[in-house]
Amino acid sequence: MRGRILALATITLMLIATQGTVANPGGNGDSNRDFVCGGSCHGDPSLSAPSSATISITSGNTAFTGTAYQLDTTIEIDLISHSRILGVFLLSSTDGNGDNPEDHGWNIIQDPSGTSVNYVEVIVPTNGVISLTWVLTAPELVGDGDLIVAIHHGAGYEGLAYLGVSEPHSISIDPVPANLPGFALDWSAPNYRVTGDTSPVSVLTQNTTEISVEWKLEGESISHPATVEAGMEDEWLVHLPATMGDGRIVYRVTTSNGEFDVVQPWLTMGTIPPEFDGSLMGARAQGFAGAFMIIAFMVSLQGLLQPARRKDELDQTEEVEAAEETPVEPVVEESTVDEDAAYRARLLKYDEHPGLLWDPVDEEWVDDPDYGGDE
Amino acid sequence: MFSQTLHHLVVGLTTGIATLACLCAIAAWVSNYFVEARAARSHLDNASYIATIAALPLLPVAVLSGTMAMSDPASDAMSYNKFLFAGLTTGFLASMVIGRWRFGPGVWNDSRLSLLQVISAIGALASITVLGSIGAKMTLGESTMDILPFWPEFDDSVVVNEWLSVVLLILGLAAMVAAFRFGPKVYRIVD
Repeated sequence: MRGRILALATITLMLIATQGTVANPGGNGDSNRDFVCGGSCHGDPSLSAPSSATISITSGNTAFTGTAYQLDTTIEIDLISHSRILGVFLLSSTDGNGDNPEDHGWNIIQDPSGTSVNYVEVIVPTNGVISLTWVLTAPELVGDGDLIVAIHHGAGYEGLAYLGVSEPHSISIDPVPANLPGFALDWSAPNYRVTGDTSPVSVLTQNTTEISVEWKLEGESISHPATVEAGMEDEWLVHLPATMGDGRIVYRVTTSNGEFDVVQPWLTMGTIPPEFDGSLMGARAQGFAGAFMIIAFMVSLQGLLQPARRKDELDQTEEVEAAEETPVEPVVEESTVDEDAAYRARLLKYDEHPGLLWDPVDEEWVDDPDYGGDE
Repeated sequence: MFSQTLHHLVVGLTTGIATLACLCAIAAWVSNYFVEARAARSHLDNASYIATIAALPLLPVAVLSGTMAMSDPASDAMSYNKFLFAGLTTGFLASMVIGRWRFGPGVWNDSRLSLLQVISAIGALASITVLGSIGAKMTLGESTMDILPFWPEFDDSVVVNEWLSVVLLILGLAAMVAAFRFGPKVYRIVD
């Protein structure tokens, strides 16, 4: 019985947990996506609600076929989930199928995250306002096209998906005028610079007699003019400040030829660390050097910090006494014995001078060693 | 493939044995503060001494097998750091062995020398931990040390010129020889 109750309780808990799960509260990642369709979770009216966010698009309404077009959108949102994740779509329709602008002839060059997809997930700042930019290439066909910005997000704890869709932004796609100044077809903007690099960025153009460049750090609102100097033919050297760490710089080129002034889209350039210049030999040498230095340091410290020897350790009395107890063999050199015998042999003894011997060589009296008494 | 397997094997052995050596040394030092821990200290000292001697020859084998296992060793900051920390670990472990060998088991009886021994042990243990963390970061992409807010970045390294490294190596070798030859004469401490 207890087992059955336990099993029932476990199943009930699992079911409750399933009901309480919110689909993807942490987002689903940037990718190419269509807008929600009626059959999807977010398309279900019982699981979704209209968002109170305001979506505005501030880009121009004209684009030239096959040239760059920048779409700027600003989203103001007051109610959002505690994670502040907002999913933003760039669409050409809201049918739930074939909505991606690329399905309508556009080509996404750069999305707000630096990649090239039509759906990105961003974190909304605490002030509730976020501005995003897509850079696209206009379709090759002349005509009219629509771009739409749509959002979805969570809010509160109702478990609902809040959806918002902007008004369609109509763009007239015109044929490219002759002599339109722009980037050279074979030029590609550098994606990264090495940290601290101050070398100028080379920009190649066509039909252009002059360019001006403005730059700002990513996230900044105020842009600054950059110094530009002419390089070789159709080449311009743009001096942008060096960036460090993870800093990203965005810059915008305006190409001019006296007839047209074309403001190009903002381009982003990241920062990468300098190339690692270590070598295997250097690493090994440095490793061994570290080992040897630590050993040298520690050995020196061991010598310095060792305890002073105690007096009983320095006392050598026992050793000395032991050495003295050992009988010492008299060592007499043979030459000394011979000299002594010769010396004794030349000494003369006179009875009238007891205790004394006469040395005829040195002509002096010396004590008789064999004389035994004091008399 | 064989090098990678060998490296995993040797690294496991080296890390385990060296960690045992360091922990036993630290425990031997701590036992100084407990009157009845004399017998335990003797065992800890022996275990630490033998484990350190066992770990020392394994370290270069681990480095060599790691070098063979990599397609381009020391070409990035993380693998470069592994060489540096392997050197530091060797230095600290060798210092432990030298101290124990010169002063005998009585090294733990002297407060200053035992402190020096335990500093070497802590240094070796820290270096081994960093070595293991770098290895985990390279193979698994994460390490348990990531939870520490003050942990240094593994993506950066202190790289000096190749020839300057050789000069440092000669300098270190000379310093070590000088420390042995011209340093004060040491005496074994009676246990």
